[in-house]
Amino acid sequence: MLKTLIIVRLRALYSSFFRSSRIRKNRGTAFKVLVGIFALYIIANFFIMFGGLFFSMCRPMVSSGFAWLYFSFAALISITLCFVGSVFLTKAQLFDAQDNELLMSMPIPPGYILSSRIIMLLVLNYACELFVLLPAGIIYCINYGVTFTGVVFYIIGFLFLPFIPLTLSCIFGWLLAVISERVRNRSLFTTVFSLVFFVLYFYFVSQMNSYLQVIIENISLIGAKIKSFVFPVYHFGLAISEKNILSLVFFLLCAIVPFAVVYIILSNNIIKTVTAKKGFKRIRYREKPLKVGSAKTALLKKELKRFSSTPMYILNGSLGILFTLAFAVGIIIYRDLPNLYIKNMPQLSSYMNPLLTTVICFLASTNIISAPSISLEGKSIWIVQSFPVDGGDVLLAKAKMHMVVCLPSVLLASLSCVLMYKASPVQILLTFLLPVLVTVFCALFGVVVNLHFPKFDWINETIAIKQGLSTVIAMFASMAVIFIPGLLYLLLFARLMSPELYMFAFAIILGALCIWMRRYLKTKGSAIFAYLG
Amino acid sequence: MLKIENLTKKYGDKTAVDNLSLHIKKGMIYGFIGHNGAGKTTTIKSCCGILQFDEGEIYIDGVSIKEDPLGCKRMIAYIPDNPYLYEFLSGIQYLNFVADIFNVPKAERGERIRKYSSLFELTDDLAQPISSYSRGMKQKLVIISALIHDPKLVIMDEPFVGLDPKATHYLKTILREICNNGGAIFFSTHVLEVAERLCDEVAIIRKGKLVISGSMEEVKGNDSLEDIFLELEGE
Repeated sequence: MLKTLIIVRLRALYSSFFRSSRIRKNRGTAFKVLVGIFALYIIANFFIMFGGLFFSMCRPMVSSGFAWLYFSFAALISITLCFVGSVFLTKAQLFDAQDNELLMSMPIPPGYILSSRIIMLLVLNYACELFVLLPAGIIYCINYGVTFTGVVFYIIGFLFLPFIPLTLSCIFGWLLAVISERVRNRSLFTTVFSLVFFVLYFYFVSQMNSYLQVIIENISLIGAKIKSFVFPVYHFGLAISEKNILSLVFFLLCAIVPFAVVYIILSNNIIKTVTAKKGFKRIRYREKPLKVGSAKTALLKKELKRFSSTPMYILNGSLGILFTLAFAVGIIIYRDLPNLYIKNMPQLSSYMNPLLTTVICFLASTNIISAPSISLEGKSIWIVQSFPVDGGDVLLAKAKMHMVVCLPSVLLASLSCVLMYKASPVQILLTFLLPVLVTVFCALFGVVVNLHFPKFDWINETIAIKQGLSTVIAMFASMAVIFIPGLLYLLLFARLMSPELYMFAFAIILGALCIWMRRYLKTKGSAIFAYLG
Repeated sequence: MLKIENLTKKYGDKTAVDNLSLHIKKGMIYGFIGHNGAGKTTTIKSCCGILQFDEGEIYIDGVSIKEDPLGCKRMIAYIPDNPYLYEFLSGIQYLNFVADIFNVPKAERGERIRKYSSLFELTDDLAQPISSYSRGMKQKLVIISALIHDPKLVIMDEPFVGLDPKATHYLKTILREICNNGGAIFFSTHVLEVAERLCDEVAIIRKGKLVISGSMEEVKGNDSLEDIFLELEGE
């Protein structure tokens, strides 16, 4: 029984990433190759990021006699990444899954349901861990060679390290579920809590380089702190770097025992938590004059309501807004900083405005609100399909919602940029035009991708929002739309044309793509949407 | 009002609906009966323009659903077998949303919401989020939303599931009123007693093919509809 449940869970995980709900014939080789290249691109991104970090850490730490600290840091980063990546999914999987009640009604021991879900989360944690520990291990081996015992200890450490973030995310997930049951506005609570959580996480990540410097400068002191306060990772580091079997046993105990305790507690409480009645404050309806609007406005309002009432949607889709606003404020607060650079390198002055515009464009491209918007229709897709509205209008309402939510922050950042730094009229035009076009592009592109990779068989909205193929494609492709032209300019076109001319050409291409996507959604997209699901 | 001509729908190798022809005239309540997987929902979804069919034609008041799907959808109301709704909206927000889509004037939408929500005893709960509704309440909300634009043709898939006896009674009364005003009703059901008492005409479908259709008297004769259905199913 447990085996079946695990297989179902893993299949769900696989399908949430790679399968779409749209019935179609076998995809061609070209498509599979494209997906393969895309997957490699994502993996390479992570490997380059963490590889670079460990490369700068490895030699200074090992040569100072703190090889264990190198592995302890790798473990700490891995734990953080796994925890951040799985805490909300843990809550959704363990306590909010739509099939919980169905499974509970079957003669399945609750422990089995819990175990199958936890194993699925463990698999996800292994995937996250791989991005961190593999580059850390490779860089160490390149510098200091490979030993058989070292590899064995490393593999054991790799297999058991995810139990630590899993324990933490189970506890936090459970706490979130219990608290959100008791608060009146669950949606607001989850949004605020998650926002605080993400702001702290991103603050930590943004300060990583300065931390690294501080760590290397105060390696003995920090080593001692880690030894006394985060002893499981200390023993993880010691076990691998010095092949210390006692440390390995101690690390294993630290990883397994708390997990076992949490598992037993959860197993004993899962029925109570899952079946707890979700609290709704009863509001008695009092008739008020109804607002009348057009069908298009109604569709847009519905999309906005959907967005604002789903915390996971806000957090996953629109973190870029937060960064864009922070950037807009940052430009004002640190307005002297670029001028300082310009003072030292006057040739930078002509690039400052294009550079800032590129940053705003990049931040705008990180918003992926429209990418899961069709998938989120789920089983209620029949509503819009049976309405006398053009499918293209339904799809465009989703793109418009993305624009309505994202454009204010983008325009604000552009305004800050123009007000704080001197710019020519052409530069001012581009500072506003390009980020707006990027936002429009991302909005339309997300809908187009989701139209081709919809996912309607989710058991929790989080799956549609976080794990859908469309979200992943939209996220990386949108960023690539800024990165690739930027790189091309630096490598090829910088010698041929001014940044303004290049940006203008880019704006024309982007604008043409937007017009094409809009037409596509109104014509072919509309026909596809009519029978989707 | 609804004319289905030689409708055929295949899912891969399986023929879900095979050369089906039906004619639902104005003023008529038409029951559509069949075992699970007989092709009822496929037919209904095809009529509502949310499922593409392979062969045949469907006309709503003389308008082809293939050629003018939006024109057809303006005339009909669809009630699905499972009331999956926008859980993030409140009942009143959902009704107003549907009214906006169908361009229902302010006074009429207010009046209809008042009338039907009071009839189905849902008025007090209209401000509640749909996610807090029971299955029956969701079903009532779908029914109210279907009636908000005064449709000419109501197409329903198992409409009585989840409704309490009082709501069932009111729904039957409303359906008859629609027919008396020149509209038509086409619905599938497994509740043969309801079909027997409510329908003017009935069609029985088996493995996608029409087995029998006609007025209730023609189909059942002196037997009950249940007897006829079981006899035909046993063939």
